[in-house]
Amino acid sequence: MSGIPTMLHYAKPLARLVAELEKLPGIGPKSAQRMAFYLLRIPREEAMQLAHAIAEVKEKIGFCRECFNFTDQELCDICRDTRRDRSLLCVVSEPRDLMAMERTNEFRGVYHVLQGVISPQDGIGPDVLRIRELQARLYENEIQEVILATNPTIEGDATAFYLARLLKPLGLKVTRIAHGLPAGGDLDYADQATLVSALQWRREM
Amino acid sequence: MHLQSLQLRHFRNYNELLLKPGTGLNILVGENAQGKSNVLEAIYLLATSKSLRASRDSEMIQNSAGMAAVGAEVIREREGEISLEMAVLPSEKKTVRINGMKRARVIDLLGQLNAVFFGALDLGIVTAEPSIRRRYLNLEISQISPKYCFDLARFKKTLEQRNRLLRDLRDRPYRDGSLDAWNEQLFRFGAPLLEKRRFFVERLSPLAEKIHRDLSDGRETLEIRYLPGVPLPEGGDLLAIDRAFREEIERVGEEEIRRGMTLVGPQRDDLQFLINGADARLFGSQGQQRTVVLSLKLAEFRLMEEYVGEPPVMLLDDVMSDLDDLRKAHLLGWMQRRCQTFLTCTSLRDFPEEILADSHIYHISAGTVLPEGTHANSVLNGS
Repeated sequence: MSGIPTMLHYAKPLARLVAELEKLPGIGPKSAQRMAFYLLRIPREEAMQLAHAIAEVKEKIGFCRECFNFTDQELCDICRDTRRDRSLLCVVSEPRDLMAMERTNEFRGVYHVLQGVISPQDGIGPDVLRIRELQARLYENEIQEVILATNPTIEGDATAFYLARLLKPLGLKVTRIAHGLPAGGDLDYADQATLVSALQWRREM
Repeated sequence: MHLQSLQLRHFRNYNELLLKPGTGLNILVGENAQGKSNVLEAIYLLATSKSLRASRDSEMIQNSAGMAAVGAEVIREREGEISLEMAVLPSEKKTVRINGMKRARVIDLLGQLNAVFFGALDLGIVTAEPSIRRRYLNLEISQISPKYCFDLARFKKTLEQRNRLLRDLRDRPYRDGSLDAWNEQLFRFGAPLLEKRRFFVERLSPLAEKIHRDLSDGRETLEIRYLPGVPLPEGGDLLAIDRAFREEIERVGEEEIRRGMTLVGPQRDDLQFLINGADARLFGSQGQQRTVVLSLKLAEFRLMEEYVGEPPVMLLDDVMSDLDDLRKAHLLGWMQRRCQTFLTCTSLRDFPEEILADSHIYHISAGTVLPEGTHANSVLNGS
């Protein structure tokens, strides 16, 4: 049960709801209380819609057998799409990164979602991620280039390095997404870390 | 460069303060625990983005206030006027504005204002454990190289991850091959730290030697030695340092797994101060050790001046009373040079009349500044 003292006065079911809401990412005790009171106030049907949506998502959404994106089918929409270029595979760490790439409408290849990055402090090693499955795809399919699109953080870079080491011997082209200045950005307004990295990864023209 | 104005809001024991300091010596005088050092801390915060003494940044927020803010108008010879602003929030988050524009990262503040701080606790640079000396190197080099600060933060994080992995490898002897990936990050961010630290000390040492000779009437020769946590080749560029780091990690190999921690790297760096060839930490008298620190700080001032093309701001926290007459005179001579200085003291006794006449003097009592006498100047106190 949560540690705020006023909670002791709540009826048990309400306290339980607050405690459950508090577990959600980005939700503190105060927001949890506000949401609980809101749910109490709205009509029963509306609240049940939320409960139903949660139950449904847990029942129906699973991972794509191919790329490990979220899907309600065996294969996700992208993996089923025959117009996709199957020689080009983009590796991302989370489904939300895949969504970000998709929003660009530029990438026509397929994806592989690792479901995390290597982070010893969080107990995540390569064997926890979908790396074995990635290797299996590479052996079987016609993939020619793997784009490593993990975030440019310490953990994302370590994961990319690990994958590059692993995949290069397979005779594939392995690339890393560029990082540096944002497009349309102002040099003067860029933060120094970004500028340093843009300078380091400059290219010849 | 100099501060044209300094503004504090809910910072430590200041409710609201606006200071318009002079371009020369500014003396903050008052009893102990009135808030003199807090003013220096605020200036240093704008220079380095780090607090001098707070273990948590939220300590700088005045009791019951929602946030603390420090702002300054800085005049630089080339760039002209720059306004800097930093807010410290109870969540330990800090935000930065430069010329009114909010910046995404706090490290953007680095390099906008340069300051050298010298306080009584700095004696620890000579006498205390190696981590204090590494902290000293980090603070100073960060001010002249934002890239260093960036690499340092990433190196620290890499080190934590790698140490955790080594501990895991020690406790369960299953190898998943990810150590190589962490090694790569370690070299990538660690090698530039070794390079910059060596470079910094190589430049600092001759400057300190010359100043120390003057301070000791020519009797003592000071040498500052960089003792890197990775045996480095003589000379050699970043590539050679990277190679040496790789070889060393390779060499310690299994030993790191057996011990469950990273055994070589800049996290093991140290500095050594030699007076006439003897280690000042072990064999120096307290007077000698103090002189070493003073030489070091003045050398740092010179180096920074050379590096940024104009003198930095000098912050002297209660150090006059610890110095003998010769060194006091030397330091006062320095301050009469063209740099802006902020100095705290409990009494004006130590200062010759002609220096006081040239100074701006602020009497500080319980978080307020009292203008007083002929030395008083434009002080607005909004509390």
